[in-house]
Amino acid sequence: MTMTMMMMEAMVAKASVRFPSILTVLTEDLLLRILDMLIENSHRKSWSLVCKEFLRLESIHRRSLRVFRHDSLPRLLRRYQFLDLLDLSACPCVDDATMALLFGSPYISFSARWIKTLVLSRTSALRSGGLEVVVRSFPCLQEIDLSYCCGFGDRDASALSHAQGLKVLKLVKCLRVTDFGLAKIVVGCVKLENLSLKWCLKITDLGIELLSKKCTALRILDLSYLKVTNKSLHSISSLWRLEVLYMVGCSSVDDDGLHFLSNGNPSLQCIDVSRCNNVSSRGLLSVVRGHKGLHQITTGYSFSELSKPLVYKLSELRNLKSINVYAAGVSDWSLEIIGNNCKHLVEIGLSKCAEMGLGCLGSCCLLLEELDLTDCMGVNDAGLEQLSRCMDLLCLKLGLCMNISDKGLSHIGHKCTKLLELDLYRCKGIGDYGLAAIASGCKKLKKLNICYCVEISDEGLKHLSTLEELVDLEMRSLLKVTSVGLTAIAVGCKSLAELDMKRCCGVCDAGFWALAHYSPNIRQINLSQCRISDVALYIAMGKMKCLQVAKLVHLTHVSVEGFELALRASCIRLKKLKLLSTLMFLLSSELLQVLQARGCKIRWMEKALILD
Amino acid sequence: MASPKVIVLRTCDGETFEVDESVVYVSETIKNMIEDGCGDGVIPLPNVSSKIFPKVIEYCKKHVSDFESLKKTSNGDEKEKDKDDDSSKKGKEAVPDVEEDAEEKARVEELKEWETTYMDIDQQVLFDLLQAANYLNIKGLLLMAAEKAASMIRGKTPEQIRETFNIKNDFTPEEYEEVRRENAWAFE
Repeated sequence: MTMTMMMMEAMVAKASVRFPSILTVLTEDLLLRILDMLIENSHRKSWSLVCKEFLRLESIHRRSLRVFRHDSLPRLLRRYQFLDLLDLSACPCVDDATMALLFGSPYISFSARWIKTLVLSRTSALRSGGLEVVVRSFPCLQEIDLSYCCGFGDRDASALSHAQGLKVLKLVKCLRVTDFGLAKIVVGCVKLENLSLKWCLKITDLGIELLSKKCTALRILDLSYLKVTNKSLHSISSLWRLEVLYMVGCSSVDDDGLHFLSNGNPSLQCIDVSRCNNVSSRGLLSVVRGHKGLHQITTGYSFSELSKPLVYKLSELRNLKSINVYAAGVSDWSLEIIGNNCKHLVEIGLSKCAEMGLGCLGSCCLLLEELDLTDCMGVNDAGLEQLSRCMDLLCLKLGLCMNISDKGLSHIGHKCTKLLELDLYRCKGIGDYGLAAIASGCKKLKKLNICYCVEISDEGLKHLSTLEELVDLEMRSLLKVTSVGLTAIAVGCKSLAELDMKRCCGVCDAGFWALAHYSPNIRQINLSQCRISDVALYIAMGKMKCLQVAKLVHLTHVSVEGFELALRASCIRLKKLKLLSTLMFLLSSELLQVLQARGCKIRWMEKALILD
Repeated sequence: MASPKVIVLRTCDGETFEVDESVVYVSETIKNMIEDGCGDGVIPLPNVSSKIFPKVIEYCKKHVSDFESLKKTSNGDEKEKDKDDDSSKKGKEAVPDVEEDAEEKARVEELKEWETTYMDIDQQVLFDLLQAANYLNIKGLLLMAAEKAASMIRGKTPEQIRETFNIKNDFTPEEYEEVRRENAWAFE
């Protein structure tokens, strides 16, 4: 008996060995080469579950980590010892105590030794204490992002100034930082190359003056929305290494200020002066005149037309790769001159340029990768046909283009096969047929906005379900869509992580059950005004293990108990919630306390329900 | 032009091959050996078999013209492998003149088709190719082969990957579950 069994085992063993195991054939460095090619996280995660050796290889190979739960951090830092980048922005409740606990331990802080980039945006509980721990524990730190940390003030800036190796600092909307805090930073972090002070409203000309004197290595500077005047531009013009300057919405700056720039900043390559109300073609012309090497220009919302001299000067920029002109009258003639002369154009933004025709784009701008035509009334099917010749298009924005239909879209679908992002917001002429064309041709699509394209029905969504790489889908107010369509999306779009289906009132529980069951990777969801029931909400919130942001306003079929249970089932992972304000008094205080303790931010909406 | 020099190479199993110098120059390893003065005798290739060598030479022959034009402009194949560029787009880094754009596109298309046919090989040949390209230091071939191997992994479950490459699952159920859970919820 045992002999036959042994023989059978041997036969089975022989049959299953078709090739020798890859681990015996390929060396570690060759396996790492193969791993280099696996960029999608889902593929890398499958790799790491194959065997212990593959797990080890992935652990030494991975360079960047975005963490969702801070209680997983110690284990993750032990697993991944060679990280360059650590992103804690998605972790609820990262504060001084968390940082001290995590990086106080020498074993864990040892694995932080190589980390060069730290993303701590929206960690508003982090203060000077936590930042001191950061500066001590990350000796190789070069880049830190503290954007939207609304509590970040001068004292915290002082703690940060000890990070002497810092090259990149992002302080977007750190509203409490003043010139004083900025001074500490520029004196301490002398190697600074990239600084963003966007929305740091307390910064004045004085701070910028000191910045320009101390941070001579600065290459990239963002002063958007600051109340700085021409004096700052005068100071900045001495930054001889400056390559990129963003000054969106600087209303206290005018053409004379831009004139200062024309004589300085010999290395300038990129400039953004959109929404600067007092800037006109003349100011931009002086900048362009002084900088032949410009390759990216963004302007708009400030002047109504590109003047002829400006257009001619723009066409002389041999290296121009990207031009964005918003809400200015760009005529076919200007576009043709620029398109014919600037051979390297890859990005064109013409949002709100009403009279646009697209004839020349398809013939002269073949390298185009990004095109923004939001709210351009002149865009029609014939234009889309011309445009489809730009086969390298990656991102196409056609929001509010009322004159396009499925016919035009199908040209894009058939030819622009590299498309990653498509925005069809409120394009009423688009229906199922157009989606079919997109779904069959643009297989790499990651982001799609079809909000308010009310002709779309389940048929269209069934076509979209073949897009396996779709990550972000916005489909507000698609009233013809039912559970059948949603189920198709849930089953087919395996990479779906963000879904906005506000006001898709035709979908019932069956659709939400399918979503809960088949889309475990969803991180952000908007179910406002949907007809979901207590049970379906509970199951959905419970099963979506990665859910972090949920908008649940005006769920008329969900009772208070339903909310209570659903939120309890998901409170450990939620970071942001949007709920109707009446629930503030109806939900148990215990639940609200738990949510707050876990770092979840709740926005209470006062909005009245708008009935169509 | 003088007649092209022919280089003699011997694989690990004793077979010899005669190949034009310009073709073998695609291999950095062989190029260095020739420049060090070994070009006149027989060049030994102890880590390459006679089975895989013709396949490698086929690649080199196809890419000689690329290499020739590169040699003129810079010193050798300096293109850095870009991690974010998930295909081995060789000629696309240089920005072409508009007049040559159409020609360039046609050439790239033809090359893509050739590569698809060339890479229609089984696992054993693929691994041999990977090892040979690594030893002979032929960057383009190495990337192409690695990409092919990666394409055999993408979209598969761990079990399917084990099946494809004949790998034993040495996780205990508890260990597997731990990693799976961490992968699913904790990070990206």
